[in-house]
Amino acid sequence: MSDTVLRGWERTMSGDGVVFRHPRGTIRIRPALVPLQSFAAIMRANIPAGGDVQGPIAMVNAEGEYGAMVNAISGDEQFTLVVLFAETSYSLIIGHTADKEAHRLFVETVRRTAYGNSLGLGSDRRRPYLYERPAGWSGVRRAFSTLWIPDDAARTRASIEVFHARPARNSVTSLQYRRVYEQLPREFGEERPSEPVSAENRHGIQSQLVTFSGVVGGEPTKVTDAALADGRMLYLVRLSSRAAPHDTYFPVLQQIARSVRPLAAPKGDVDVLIDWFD
Amino acid sequence: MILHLTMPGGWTSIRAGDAVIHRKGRIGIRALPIRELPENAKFWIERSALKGAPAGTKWTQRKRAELVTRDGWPAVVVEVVLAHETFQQVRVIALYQFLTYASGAEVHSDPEDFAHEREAIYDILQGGRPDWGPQETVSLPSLLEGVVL
Repeated sequence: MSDTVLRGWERTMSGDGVVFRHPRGTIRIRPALVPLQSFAAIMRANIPAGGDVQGPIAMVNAEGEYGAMVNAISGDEQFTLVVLFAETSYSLIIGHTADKEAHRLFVETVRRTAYGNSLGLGSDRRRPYLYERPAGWSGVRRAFSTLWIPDDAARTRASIEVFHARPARNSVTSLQYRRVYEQLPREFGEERPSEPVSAENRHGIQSQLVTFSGVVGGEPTKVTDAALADGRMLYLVRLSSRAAPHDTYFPVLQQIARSVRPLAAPKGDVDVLIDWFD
Repeated sequence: MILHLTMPGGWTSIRAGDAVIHRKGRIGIRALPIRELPENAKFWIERSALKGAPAGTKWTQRKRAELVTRDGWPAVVVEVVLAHETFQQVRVIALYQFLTYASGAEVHSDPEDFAHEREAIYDILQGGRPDWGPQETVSLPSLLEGVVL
């Protein structure tokens, strides 16, 4: 069954997704694909190698979700691909035309389709964000954070946990989440924490660093929290290690905190709807 | 994420599900995936030591030691002898702690082969370290590696 939704295009439902057909090519939307893959891997799997590649460049869509776009041209043939990332899946939008005259039309239509494409996750949720990863550290993906581990962690027990950003507005579940996942154990309550130190962030977010000390399992241990707030979301980056080497990791924590990029807010554009109606 | 063991020459290694099995003669060492810390380490070790043994197997603990790997990770190692009318086997179970994660190595060996390779086996276990796995999807910045921001 097909109908016309996008002006001049025919829409056909296909599996979980949608195919838009135009006399000069197609655009396919495949939502919620698993497992999660990097943009580079998705690009390799969906776009023929060779040809003139433009991008990839990052994009943020109307919901504030992150993704990337790439355009690949080989002769008259063009593939335009956008990936939008959710936490555990991704949506893929891919346009294909073999008509050189239609290249610009397809790039623009794919871009606008992706911009208005809903992942349906809601912006008022814990979300990952962009920052500079610590060079040479290994990452472990957790449910609501990434744990970064240096090569010498066996001796120093060091790690930096980049928690997902969370809404600044409290709720019952957000308060429980903080207690369960973010609150430090009571061992860190016996000594007075350091005075908060304000820190600069490249993107203008307010940032404060506080160091806590305690004895955990017989080991003197330190934790430094870098807490950032942009008015809408809160960002927590936590350095933990044995007490003695703690300060040697401080520059790495500062580098991450300095680079935290505030999450984009959803846009209230109406014009994403206009092209959809005949 | 899996326990990485550096094997000397003479061993073959194959992927078996989410584990890796290293073999030499009648000795097998299974390196396990990295998971959460077991709630009860003693129970975990005992259950691992008896895994797959036929009903009625008697087991004797020959050795229990806390060790520190060459990199500095803590581990507990238990050596047991299993005896049953149908077989005899030496098993060594190592439980490693990597921050808030754990992994294990399960050595199953013919007793005679074990006697010859015991020192080498413990040396292999001493070198155990975490392999934290592929890095491409661990964070949003990782997913966008190579993308112009």
